[in-house]
Amino acid sequence: MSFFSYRNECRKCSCLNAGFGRMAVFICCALFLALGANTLGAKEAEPMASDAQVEARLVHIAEELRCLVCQNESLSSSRADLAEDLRAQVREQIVKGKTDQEIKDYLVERYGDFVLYRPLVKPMTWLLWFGPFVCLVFALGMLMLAIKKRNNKIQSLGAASQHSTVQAHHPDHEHEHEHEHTHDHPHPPINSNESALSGQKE
Amino acid sequence: MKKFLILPLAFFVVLVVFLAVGLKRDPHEIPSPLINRAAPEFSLPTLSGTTPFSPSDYKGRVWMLNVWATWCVSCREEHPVLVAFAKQIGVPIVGLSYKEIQPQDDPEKKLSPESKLNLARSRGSVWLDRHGNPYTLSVMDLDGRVGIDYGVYGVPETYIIDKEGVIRYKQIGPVTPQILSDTLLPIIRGLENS
Repeated sequence: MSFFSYRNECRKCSCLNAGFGRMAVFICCALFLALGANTLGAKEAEPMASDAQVEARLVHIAEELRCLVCQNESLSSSRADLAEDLRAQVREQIVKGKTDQEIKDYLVERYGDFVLYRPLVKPMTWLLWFGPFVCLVFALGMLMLAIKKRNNKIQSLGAASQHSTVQAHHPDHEHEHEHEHTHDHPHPPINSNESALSGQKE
Repeated sequence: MKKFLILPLAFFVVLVVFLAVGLKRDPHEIPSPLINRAAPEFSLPTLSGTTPFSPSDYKGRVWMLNVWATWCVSCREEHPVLVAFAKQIGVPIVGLSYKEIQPQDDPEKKLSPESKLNLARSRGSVWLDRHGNPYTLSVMDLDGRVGIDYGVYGVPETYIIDKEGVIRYKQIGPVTPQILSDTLLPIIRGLENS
């Protein structure tokens, strides 16, 4: 089912075009400025400069705005008709002397927060803005806790093993002593076993 | 060990719920900030050439504003529904002929505003003659300015406006018989009785 007529328009604005439009505007602006500075007198250059200024501001504002038709493109790079219309609106308002905020508000009033690439900070978007940091703090807390737990475990284990090794040393020593004593017997445990068995039998 | 697994599991479940909700939503349906706000005022020439129409003309009545164009493919899907149910809808349906003359129709921008309007009118009326006319009247939004004021970003779109001139609902995309009977008609009846 074809949903929006505008959806077809997205085919117009392929990825190739997206970056190209922005580049073209930039190059045009640069050329304008360069030409204005080099070849033309200050008097003639002024309207051009202001035009370039308007365009530069347009690009600056439109880059922060989302094209509603091709949603993954900014208003400055989209070739959709609606994007063109909206750019014209933004340009008109720049010429009228509106501030960036006023222009953004104008579009938000009509299309909602969705047009802003940078979501506003408000209760609705708290999770979005602060969620990752809350997660980070939480994860760090968990990590600290885990490390502390592990340290405690190691400490208590260390203490316990120290304790147990001290205890364990005695039988070893005894063994060693035994070995020392029973050096002349080749298989002392078997002997002792035999003697035990024989003892049981008796 | 089991205790330790509960937290990641809870995180996972929350994540899955978020993703599941996200999957069900159509990213092309952008909620309009104009719902429950006064319908933007305008004054536009009509298709038939009668006196210009403004929303304030319909104050005290519930009415529908349907954005359409002859170049709009989805409108062909929607249009028969509006034609068939116009009587059942029972409230005025105002057509907003949106940017009938597209940039490619006038590549050199030679057309004067008047000839543009005339061309749009003749195209629009031919189209309505062929496909049926569900509209009480149609207004011509040639440059799409009124469309922008209403937050139109695709065609077709349909608005329901109440007796006080407040937008109560926006349908994005074509109206189907099901959307009409399940959503639009109950809203219209509710607004009419209030």
